[in-house]
Amino acid sequence: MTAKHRGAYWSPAQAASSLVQLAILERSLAHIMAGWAVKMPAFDAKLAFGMQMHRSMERATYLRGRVNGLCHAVAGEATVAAGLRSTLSHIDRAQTPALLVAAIYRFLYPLLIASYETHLSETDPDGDRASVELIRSFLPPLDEESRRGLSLSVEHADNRPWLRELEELWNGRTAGEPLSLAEALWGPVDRVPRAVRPEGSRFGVSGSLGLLPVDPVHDPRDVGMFLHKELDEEFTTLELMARNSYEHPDMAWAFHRDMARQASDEARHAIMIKRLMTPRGFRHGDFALTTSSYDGIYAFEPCAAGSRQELLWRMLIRQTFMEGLAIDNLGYEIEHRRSVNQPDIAAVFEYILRDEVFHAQSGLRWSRELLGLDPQAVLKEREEAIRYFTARAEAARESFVMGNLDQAMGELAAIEAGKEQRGGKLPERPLNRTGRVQAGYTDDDIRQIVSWGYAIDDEGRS
Amino acid sequence: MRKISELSVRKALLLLTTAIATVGVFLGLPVKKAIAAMQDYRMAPGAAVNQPAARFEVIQPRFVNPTAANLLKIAGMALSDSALAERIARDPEGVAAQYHLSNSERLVLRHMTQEQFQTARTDAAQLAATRMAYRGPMRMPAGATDAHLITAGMIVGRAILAAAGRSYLNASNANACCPWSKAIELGINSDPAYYNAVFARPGMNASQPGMNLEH
Repeated sequence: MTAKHRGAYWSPAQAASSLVQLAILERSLAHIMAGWAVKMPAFDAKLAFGMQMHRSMERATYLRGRVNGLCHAVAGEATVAAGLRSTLSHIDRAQTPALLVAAIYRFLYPLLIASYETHLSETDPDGDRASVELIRSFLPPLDEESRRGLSLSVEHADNRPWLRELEELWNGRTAGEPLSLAEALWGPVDRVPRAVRPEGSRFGVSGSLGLLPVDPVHDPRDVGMFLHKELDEEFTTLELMARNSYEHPDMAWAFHRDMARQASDEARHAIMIKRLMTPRGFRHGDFALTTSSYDGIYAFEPCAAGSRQELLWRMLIRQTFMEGLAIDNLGYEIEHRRSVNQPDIAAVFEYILRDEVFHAQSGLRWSRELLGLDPQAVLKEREEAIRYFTARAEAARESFVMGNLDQAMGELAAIEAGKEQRGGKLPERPLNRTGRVQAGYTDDDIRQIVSWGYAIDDEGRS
Repeated sequence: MRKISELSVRKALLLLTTAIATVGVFLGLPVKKAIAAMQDYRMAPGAAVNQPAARFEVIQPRFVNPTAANLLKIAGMALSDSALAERIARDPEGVAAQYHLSNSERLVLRHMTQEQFQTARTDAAQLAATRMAYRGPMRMPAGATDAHLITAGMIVGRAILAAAGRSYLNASNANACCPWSKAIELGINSDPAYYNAVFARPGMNASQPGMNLEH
């Protein structure tokens, strides 16, 4: 038996060139999914995009490290031609969710997998062993992602002209100026102030209090309502974090990894919450949906659209204010659910708490970064953002009540029933000091939330 | 063609914002507040996301079917009966018993103060005058300019707000289950006019996000 003769393997420069193209394909895929998660009507697509954008971002990160490893010794830089960016940004401009899905899973994934396989067959298996091992670990999940993507719920349409268009662009990918990995992305092609939901969805009304479970611990329907609200929160946070990444491609690489990880975490949380809902006889959409944790935190009148300040306010409100409250509440809920023999809910919340600490930590890190690491500036800016946000909420509330007296009376009755259920007490709001400290909240940060009345610090009091 | 359609949408949204402010004034909200409540719609007038029109629904506790009808009736009577107005302020429990009010209605009644009656009278008179000034196609229906009805609505609405708590923190406490989530819906509005204005663009399929993007 004779060994098949082959030509020389790729040089390190050729390998780096192939790897940088792969890194750009993965990074761009994460970018496109980050922009589109909120625009996809189907929930399964949102979940897939949330998780896959994180995987792509992580693969891009490994590849980037490998490119640096191959270029560093000769002070070189691997580049691709601008034609590649044109192709990828064109995909981002797909006219419908169905075309986008076709572009990603019928065009981009096959190309990506083929490019990985080409690298495996052409690179030096010993000289470039690290890349070979990486790529071998990438291929099985890529296959799985591709299969899952092809089964997403989208309208069926004739995609052939669109795919031909992309093919032509791909053929011209080697044209144009050279671009490094850092220059490969493009700016946001749109603003999406409202989260898209499946056609025919029912929504809570602006200014209302939404779903008001009276007894979310014992009453089966209220437990379902409670989980339903949770589920909505997971989706809207996934969408908002994804847009944070998409709308600010020039933020640091580590920022995008954090946003992608959080989007993926929220997708996992949604899956876990659905797992709690199903055996209890509830499905997403059984109650009115809410998207206000996206819609209400997307833009703010005092901040220029697309500005860093807008990004800062989103993070301050969602990640450092609301997710801080989640850390507090989950700490309480875990014990409480266990005490009322709901170990499945407690177990899911245990996992969610772990992730929430990271989410708040990320929000604290990047909001501090945007404010020049000045802790006083963070407190001041958070106060300003929260003051604006709550004023807007209160105005919406007032408008709703004045225009919907009967519904407002219904809410009042539910609030009173809830109070009665709790023996006239306010809902429990114990501060989870350990969780907050682990997330990186300073004493001043903690004092701020306690002084606003959203958490009660028994430890600080005693 | 594209620019013209975008312009039309913006005009429609501008009109809508004006209408919202007018409705807000009708309801007794300062113009700024009414617009603030709706400001999401001004933030991105060209946005084309395919969030479908919402059906009007508020989940209510299943064991009650509360309405504001009794309270509106009492507030309406008290407007022309100063003795009743005085009794509501002095002895709300007695009035509640007389009219067989539920616990929630009783709670709201306790927040109907003499000052509130006076303020509502003034606000409603101004509002009715403003609305009566509309002529031609903008002319308001008779019910919408009835100062008596407007005043009663303002009194009841403001008393409900006071009873339930006006602040975001109060609202958070009302949502006992998820204090980290928003306590007040800041999302879409159920007003179909908004969706009509955004989506009724010639040659544009509302179910296609990204159609209006600047390429």
